[in-house]
Amino acid sequence: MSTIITLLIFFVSIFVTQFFGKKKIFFIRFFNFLILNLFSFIFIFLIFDLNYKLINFLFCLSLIFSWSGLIIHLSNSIVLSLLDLINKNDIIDDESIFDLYNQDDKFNERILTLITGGYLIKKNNQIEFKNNFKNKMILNLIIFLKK
Amino acid sequence: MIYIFYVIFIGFFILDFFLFYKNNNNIFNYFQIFFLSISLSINAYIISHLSIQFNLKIELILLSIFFSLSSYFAYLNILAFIGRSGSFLILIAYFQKQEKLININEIFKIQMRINELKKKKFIYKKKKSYILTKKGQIFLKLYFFFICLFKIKVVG
Repeated sequence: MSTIITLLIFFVSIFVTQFFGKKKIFFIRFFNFLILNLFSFIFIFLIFDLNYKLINFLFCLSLIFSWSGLIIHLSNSIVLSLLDLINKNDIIDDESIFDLYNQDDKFNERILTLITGGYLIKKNNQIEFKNNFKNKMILNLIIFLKK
Repeated sequence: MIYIFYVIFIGFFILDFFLFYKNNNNIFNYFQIFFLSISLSINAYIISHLSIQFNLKIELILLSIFFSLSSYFAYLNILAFIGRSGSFLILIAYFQKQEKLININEIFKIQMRINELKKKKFIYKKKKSYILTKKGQIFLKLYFFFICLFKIKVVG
């Protein structure tokens, strides 16, 4: 029973944030999803005193991580973009893929996305890393894991 | 007793990351599947011998199965991010104030990804042109289905 409730909370949170949210970059919308999912979980499990709270909480966290992974993957996947490119064009060699993909435009698009997401900031026509506790913590974690 | 499975499972991911992934950068390996299957079976066996109601046993087994699958999927995604994300490389360069040293080819690694598409049989060459295999077409359809369904902005 509690497993089904955790799954329901997860799917309802996705439904609300994805279908009622405007078309935005995922990691901005993700914050709303995270708050809604965790708040609903805590509220429902405490009010109805459901079984196995801790295990369900771990399950809830694993679902949140899976969902964010899937969506970020779909949004950022270069492999899938290349697949789309090959499908739409008559490509004869690897060089043509390089020409059609246009890395410079894609690079600028990613920079803009990172600015919109609050990770980079445009200051006096220069782009800089936005120094705050959250960003520094995320970057330090990524650097530690990438080492 | 019922929490041991979850502690072992999370511990396994940490060990797999530092012992295997850090050494060979392979996201997927068969040992992960082996571990997942064995630990789930042992856990189901232990739960079936607990002196609790039958419906609670079913619930605990279901929870362990769902948790294992979703956490394993999340783990693989995290590994893929750490190893392949272009946006992370851009952010790290700006964070370390080395943005002038950014090499766009290193961020997108197009040749590596084209090779992957060939190796994993998503595309093949027919009469001088690349075309999608059946597998490639299915993946592309699924990709567009999810992009439209969840209104995702594509930056890949």
